[in-house]
Amino acid sequence: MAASTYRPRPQPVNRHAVRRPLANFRRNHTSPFRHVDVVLVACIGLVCLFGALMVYSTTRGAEPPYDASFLKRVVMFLILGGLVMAGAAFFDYRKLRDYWPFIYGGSVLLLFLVLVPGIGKSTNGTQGWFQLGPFQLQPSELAKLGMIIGFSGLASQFRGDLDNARVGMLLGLCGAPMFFVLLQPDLGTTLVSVAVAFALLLVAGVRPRILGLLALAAIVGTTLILTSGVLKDYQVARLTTYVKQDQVATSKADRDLRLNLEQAKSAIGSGGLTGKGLFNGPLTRGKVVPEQQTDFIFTAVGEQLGLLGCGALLTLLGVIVWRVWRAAQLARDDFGMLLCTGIMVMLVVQVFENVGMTMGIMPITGIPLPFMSYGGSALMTSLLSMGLVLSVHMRRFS
Amino acid sequence: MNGGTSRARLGLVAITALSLFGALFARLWFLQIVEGSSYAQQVTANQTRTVVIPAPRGKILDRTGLALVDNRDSIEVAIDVQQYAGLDRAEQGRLRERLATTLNRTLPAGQAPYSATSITKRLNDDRFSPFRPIPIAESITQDQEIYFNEQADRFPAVVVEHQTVRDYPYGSLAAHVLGYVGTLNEEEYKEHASDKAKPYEKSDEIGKTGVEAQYEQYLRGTPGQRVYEVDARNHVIRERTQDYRAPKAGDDVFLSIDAKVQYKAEAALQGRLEAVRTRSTPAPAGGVVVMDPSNGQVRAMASYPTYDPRLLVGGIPCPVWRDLQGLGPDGSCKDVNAEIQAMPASQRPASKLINRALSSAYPPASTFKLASSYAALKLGIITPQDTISDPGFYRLCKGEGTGCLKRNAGSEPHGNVALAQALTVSSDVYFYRIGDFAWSRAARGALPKTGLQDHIGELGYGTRSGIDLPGESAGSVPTPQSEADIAAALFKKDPARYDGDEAKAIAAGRWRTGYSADLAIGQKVDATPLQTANAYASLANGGTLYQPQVLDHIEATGSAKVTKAFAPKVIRKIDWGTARDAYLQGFTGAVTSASPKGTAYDVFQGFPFDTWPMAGKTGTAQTGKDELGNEKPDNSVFVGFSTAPESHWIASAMLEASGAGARAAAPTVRLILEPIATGEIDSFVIPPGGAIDAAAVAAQSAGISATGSD
Repeated sequence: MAASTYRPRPQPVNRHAVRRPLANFRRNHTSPFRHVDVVLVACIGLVCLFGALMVYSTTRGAEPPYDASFLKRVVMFLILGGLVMAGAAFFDYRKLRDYWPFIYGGSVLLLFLVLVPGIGKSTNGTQGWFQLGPFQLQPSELAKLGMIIGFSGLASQFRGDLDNARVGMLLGLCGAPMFFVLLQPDLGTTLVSVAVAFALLLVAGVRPRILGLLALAAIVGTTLILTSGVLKDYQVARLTTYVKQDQVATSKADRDLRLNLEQAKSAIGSGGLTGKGLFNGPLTRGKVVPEQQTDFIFTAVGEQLGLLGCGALLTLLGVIVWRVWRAAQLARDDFGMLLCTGIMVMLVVQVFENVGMTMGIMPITGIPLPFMSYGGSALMTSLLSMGLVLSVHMRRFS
Repeated sequence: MNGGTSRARLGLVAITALSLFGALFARLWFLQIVEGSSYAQQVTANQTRTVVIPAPRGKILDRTGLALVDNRDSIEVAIDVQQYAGLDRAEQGRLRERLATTLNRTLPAGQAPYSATSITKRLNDDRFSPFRPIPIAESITQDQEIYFNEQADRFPAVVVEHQTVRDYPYGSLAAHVLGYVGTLNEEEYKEHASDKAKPYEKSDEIGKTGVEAQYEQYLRGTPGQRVYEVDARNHVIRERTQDYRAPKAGDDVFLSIDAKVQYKAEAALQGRLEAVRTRSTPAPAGGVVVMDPSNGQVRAMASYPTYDPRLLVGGIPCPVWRDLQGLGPDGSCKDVNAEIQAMPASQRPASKLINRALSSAYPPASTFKLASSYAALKLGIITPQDTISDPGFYRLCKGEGTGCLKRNAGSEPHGNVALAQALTVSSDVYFYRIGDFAWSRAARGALPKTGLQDHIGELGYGTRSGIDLPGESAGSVPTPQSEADIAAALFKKDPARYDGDEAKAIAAGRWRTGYSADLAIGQKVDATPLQTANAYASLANGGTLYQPQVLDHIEATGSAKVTKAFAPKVIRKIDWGTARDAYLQGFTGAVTSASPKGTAYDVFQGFPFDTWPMAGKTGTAQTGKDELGNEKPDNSVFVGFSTAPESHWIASAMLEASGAGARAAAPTVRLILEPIATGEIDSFVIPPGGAIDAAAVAAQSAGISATGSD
């Protein structure tokens, strides 16, 4: 790894390329704007529209007059998110490499501030939101991206020369946001961060022996947290309910969650091959499945559109994952590669965790389904990260 | 960073991602294709909840259409226990405090204020089913209801419900006939579990006693239902209007009871008991039956002590329940029966719930002479014209003991008496002779051993009349067999009683002439006031023993469609033959004859006989000795009936421990029949709430001469 060489940043052939993108697009074949990943953009667009449709289906109510207030907000988020994604794509990701300490530091600071009573807002026992007028900002969403950018920046500065001290620094960099998120406590986001950090360490070239030790430490740590009583009943229940779906409930929280899970499985299961038709889910059209427009939106797809709808959705998400992975492969520098890898793993873990929990193969945590679940912060983070991937991808030759 | 290594490790990441997606697809396939159909079935079951809408019970009215039991709307504050349990402890405490404060703001005068502790006590009261909200306060105002609904956020788990509850416009009037309703107990729930037409919920009310129990199937309404679609937390999304079924009110039951007569009967009973109450005659209880002899309908049925069914609405608090048993208010309600059983027999309290007109059997005393003489006539022992000499005593055997030498009341000689005079003056000697002859002829085989009893039974004694009210007692008419059985049972239970000698037990159980003699004057036999009234009714109406009924007819609520009409039921025909005239003459004499002096002649001085001829018979029942060996006070018995062909009234009264028949029971009957005879009853209006001014009635009854004898 010591053999890796520093490549000076090549200057664009046309200095106006960045400043006048459209004019440049027609003339310059090396312009980044000729290498936009159209497949990725199309898939993201389709999934987002799919999500908007499902949010409307689950919130419009059973009978006219239909309630379009959720739909309006989703469309607003999508327009805003589209602009954010485009902005991120236009933005040269390599600038992040220089400013990563500020981005990373800022995101950790927000995580700290949200814990301060009076500044942050608590919902369902989790101190994890800022109330900004009518909107809520969830800093843990941004922090995942902040951590990826920070890691990519620091790791690319090490240029693959990873001694134990540097691995320690990277671990510390990942640990700080996780610590604050765990204090909220937001277990789901912490678990996603652990997976992302592990993948980043793997790809950054940390030796397998150390990775093995880290995995062991993670398992021991998880066990300790679960048994030490730091977590409240309902949090333990969330993590353990899915393991013992056929046993008798042990606490009220456990019983509620079981019912929750049963309803979710019923909704998906009763969809069958083709589903009951859009807008026609007795369980997800009404309010039988809780959180149906946010964390449990996949149940609505399952009930209303069946295996075909779910398959199509997962395929679209799979294509997105593949395109992000491809962007990582094609990235012209380590920073871009690590950035895309982190974003890809974040995406995969969130999809797997969210869809898995609605089907009873993963614990129930408050992880939204990327692009689909109703919620501004998550959508912004997802689209922002996609913008960064696009930025990496289209600048692979420049 | 080694580009090659990193790219290779990226492949590892890709494989992991691919397998995760594969897992999702596999699980999706399993849920939607493999198990899809079973989930689809499950879904229809768990998305709806059916809420039963209780239907109001039918009303109970008197024969003139006066509502004796009505329904009223009650707004009730209750706590949903399941939701309440979901609150944390501090929240529960705050809720209780807040609820108590709010309820106390509009507390009706005289009611104990609510407190957090009293609410806790209520919540822990095991009378209430945890499956439905536990009522904390009944009959709150509409303003309060609005307040609770507006402030629903501040009162989690508190529900305000409208309930239809029983209302008793006349208070305790006819309480024993009407009965009361209460929540189903475990056995009743099991018994009615298969009812399809009018299914019961565990929290439903069911008639427990009286007409409420007897005509439950008519009074009970048909419950309706609402079907809701609900979410995982049981929150209603919308109602399925196509599945709505409206509740249907129960049928209205019209009784043969006449509320005015009922009121007069209760007032007379209570007032007379108070008037005769002394140290030696405690007069604790009594029962009255007023009937129409021409069809067996009951016009009034009174029992004292009585109770106010209004106190029983919406669950019976423990002190009230103890009071109904005649116990003091302090103490446990867990095993009231055991507590009463543990008391010495003479100190056992008089239960207010017993309907003494039909559930308690007493020695009918001289009123039974109708039955014994009827049997003697049938057996050919006497004819109505036979005259015997009554020196005031009757010798059954040699010796001076009470077993051999039977005396009249006060040992009074009545001279030569035939059947009519024997009844007028209540000659015991005449009837001792009947008993003596009956048994001595039976002993030599000239008559069947139970000849007397068999014919007595024809008048309805010893069997339930079959009245349409629960809890009727059959009374008892002893026979040689029943005496032997009792002795055998006693010997089996406690051989020491007969020194372990079975022969002694058999000897003790042997029927004696004296038993027949006692039987003939109405001792050693038990009958309810209802049985006495019914036997005399068969004489008054010329020879038909009807099955008594309290029902007049049943109407579907609101449509006046008769679902069940009244039909007189004949038990059997009684052939009084030529003796009927002698009976009427004898019984008329008992109330009108100055010489020989009728036993109730003094009591009925001033009664309008010329416009409303009537007859009657007194009875003074010996009730044996208490555990200290003292004679217990006599029960006072009287039965009186109109003899005019177009008039249909008979009244039978029994007042416990109140002295001679003429002293207590005869004045009671006069107080009941006189307003009917004079027509005063037509313009009589029952006081609001049915309140009885017993002292005033006692004062009025004091004007009636109570002298006279058995």
